[in-house]
Amino acid sequence: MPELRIKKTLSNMFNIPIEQINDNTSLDTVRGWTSLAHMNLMIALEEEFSVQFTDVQMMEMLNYPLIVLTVKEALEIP
Amino acid sequence: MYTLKEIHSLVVQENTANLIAELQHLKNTTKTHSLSAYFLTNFTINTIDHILNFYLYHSNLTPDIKWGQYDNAMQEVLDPHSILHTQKFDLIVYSHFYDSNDPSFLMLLNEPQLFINNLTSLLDLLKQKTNALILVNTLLFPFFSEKGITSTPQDNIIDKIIVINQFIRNYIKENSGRFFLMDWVRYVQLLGKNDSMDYRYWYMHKSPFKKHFLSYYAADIARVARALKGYAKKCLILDCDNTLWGGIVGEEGYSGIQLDNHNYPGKIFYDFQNSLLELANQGVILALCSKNNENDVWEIFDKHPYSLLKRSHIAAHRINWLNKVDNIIDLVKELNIAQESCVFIDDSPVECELVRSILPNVTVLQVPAALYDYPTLLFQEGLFDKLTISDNDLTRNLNYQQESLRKAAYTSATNLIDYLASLELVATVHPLKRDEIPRVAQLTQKTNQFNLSTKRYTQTQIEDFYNSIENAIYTLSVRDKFGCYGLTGVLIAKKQKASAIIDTFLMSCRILSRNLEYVFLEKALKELATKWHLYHWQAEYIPSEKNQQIVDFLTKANFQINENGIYCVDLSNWKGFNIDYVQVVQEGFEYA
Repeated sequence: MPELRIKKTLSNMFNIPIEQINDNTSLDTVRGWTSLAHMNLMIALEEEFSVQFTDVQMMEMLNYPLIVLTVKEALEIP
Repeated sequence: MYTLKEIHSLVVQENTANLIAELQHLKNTTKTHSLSAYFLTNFTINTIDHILNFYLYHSNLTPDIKWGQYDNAMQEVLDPHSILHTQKFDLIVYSHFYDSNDPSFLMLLNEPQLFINNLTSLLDLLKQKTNALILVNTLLFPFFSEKGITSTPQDNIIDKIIVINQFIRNYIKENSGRFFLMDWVRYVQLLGKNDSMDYRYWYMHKSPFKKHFLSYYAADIARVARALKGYAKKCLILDCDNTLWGGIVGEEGYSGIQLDNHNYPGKIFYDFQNSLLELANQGVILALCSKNNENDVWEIFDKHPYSLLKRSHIAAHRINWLNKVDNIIDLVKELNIAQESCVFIDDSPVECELVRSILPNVTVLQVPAALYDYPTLLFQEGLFDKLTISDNDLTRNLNYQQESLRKAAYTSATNLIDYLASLELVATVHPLKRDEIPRVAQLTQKTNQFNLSTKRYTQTQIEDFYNSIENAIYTLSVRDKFGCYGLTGVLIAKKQKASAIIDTFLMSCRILSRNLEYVFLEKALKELATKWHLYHWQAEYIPSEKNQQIVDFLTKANFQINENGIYCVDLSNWKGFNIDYVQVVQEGFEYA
């Protein structure tokens, strides 16, 4: 399951402990999740899972639960 | 310090999130120099930020990167209150991108000359109003032709971009030393469209480039930064068998080695030798370190029809059966350069590892297993980059050969003073002349050992000193009976109310051990003291890892440490040094 790898990516990206990442982790609650950081986050997730997101997906992945959902969708995990 | 190629591999293999996390750790490490850069852009290139930071930290530099406003370059240059003018930057990166599908760009392209005029005004202003080195990129060509397979008498987009890029290249050539080319076209040529461009991000965020492209761009920016901060290598120490030619001369003999321009793999070694000639022409010192019989090696240099390298290109050599580490230590001593300034090339992994482990400051390159990559190896690494190539560089290998003649003279004289007297040394000391500015800037950038403060200055900064009445610069050029060493010493002084300060005092290491530093200091200080009526002088000594010999020099030159720990000298009762075997003159022979 991709959850742990997503948490690790978010943790590295925003310099926050992995235990603190939960369903409330979002663009509004994380300091430093700017539009530039969002682009880097998308690139990091694409590298991590060797996938390519669509433009629509990238605009939707604004919090942890939505990221998990989208990554699973991209990986075709039911 | 990693090579640029090693950093590139780290950047493209490592996950972006890990890179960003690693930067947090790198921020807490101490580096030798700092490097400030300012980006002026008309699109979003900020995703290069962590990549460029990564390159600079691994280049032993503490980066400070600032971003201009989006698409506001001209306004920022003209606004005296913009950060571009209130703060000093080492580099200004002018980064302009235009998408060939964008109608507003096509409008601009209708009149390429207008585009060029606007760009000229911007670059001219940057040149006049800042002191920074300025990096400008070429424009990318469209990936698909708008007219399909048809050729029309009118210029198409590609024709117009060719004209603009040619203008950019020429502008940079005319302003060499101040402007540097960031050739985006080459990155795309190396990577192809798919590894360069991401049109999703272009249309969503105006951010068109992928990581590979950004890494190449960051590498070129780091090359300029490294050259500016004096990290250029000066000497290339070469193994011979399977390095300068294929095969082993001791076994296969003169006619058995592979170096023939028309055969494989001889052609590879022939082309590699050609790359060495190019570097030698840029002033890189070539030396040999080989386990061989000396006569076998010289026979190839002297007689082999395909040996582009001749004996005269080699500044020093150790061809014997001793261990290579000792030989390299010995060579470095003979050439009087630092180990940090040397690159060693060998085909044997054992020799490479031995040198790497015992002499970690020497950069070691192994002949690549993919031999066909060998001819471009040295150009890819950017190890010998410097900001300008001066007349001095072009004659350097010749100078080192004259030095070995001098060493031979040394063994026949019985004491040092007799020997120095026998050299018939002549020192030209005078205030800086305009045409000496590039060489002076270059010396401040690369001199490490005999350097009072190790302050690095650009050509523009030296020019500012030249034009200011508060500063004075003196230069030293040296000649002896064996030849000319060129401009090899610089003193920069600053006038203050009650005293004067020596801001920079440096000597190229190739003229040390002749007491010329005393002659130069005495002549320049006495002249300046009389001119400025200032007899109390301070030397701004800044210790570095390599300039310990300065302390010894200041002590011998009768400088005293005052209560604030500053080296001072009172010239009103300063005796000077009475060195009578050097003739000091005001004019002549600097460019002989």
